[in-house]
Amino acid sequence: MLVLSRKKGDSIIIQDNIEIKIIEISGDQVKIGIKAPKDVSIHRKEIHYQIKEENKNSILNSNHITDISDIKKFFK
Amino acid sequence: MILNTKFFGEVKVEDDKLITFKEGIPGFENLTKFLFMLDVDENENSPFYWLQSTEDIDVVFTLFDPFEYFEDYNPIVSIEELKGAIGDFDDENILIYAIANIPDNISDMTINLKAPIVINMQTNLAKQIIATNEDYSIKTNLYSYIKKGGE
Repeated sequence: MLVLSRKKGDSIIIQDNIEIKIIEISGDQVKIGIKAPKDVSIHRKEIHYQIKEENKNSILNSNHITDISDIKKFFK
Repeated sequence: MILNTKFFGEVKVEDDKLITFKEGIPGFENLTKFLFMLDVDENENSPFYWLQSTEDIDVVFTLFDPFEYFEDYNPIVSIEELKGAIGDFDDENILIYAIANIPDNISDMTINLKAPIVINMQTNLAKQIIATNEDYSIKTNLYSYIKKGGE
């Protein structure tokens, strides 16, 4: 991983069109501003991880679901 | 082609009816081809849809139509980002479904309103998007919501 030191108000540029700016530093918190084309998706890493884990837990596992009619009964 | 499905046995399907997730689904990045199935029940309308991987029979997601239960559901996502993933679309050709997590105790069932599946019927491309809505949860308890009468 590339590690750069930046001060408040400094920026870095990625691929000419993505700018990441240090807006504010207070204690162990950093406020970051991101300027990027609209087709670039930006999310906190933890939400990505949570969605991944939730997907893995969401596939129908034959260990506990043997018959989908069990599920259907709940919606009748 | 004939596809083997986990809960419905062998299903005959036209190749061009398969749904492609170009980058897979988070957690299953290597699986890109899925069969989208409606659950046609002889007796009544079923709220379920199924997303069966054609590459791994054990990967089946249960999908719900979120609008059926959450009338105001309105996931916000960048249109440019979405078009980059699933191609150009008209609104009437877009399908949006929420993945359900169904644990042993079915009344603990949750659906993921934060990251719905979006299918473009024009291109048969799909993507699990992340809605920017801060109040949408990855785990929304569907069962208690239904039993409350959708308050």
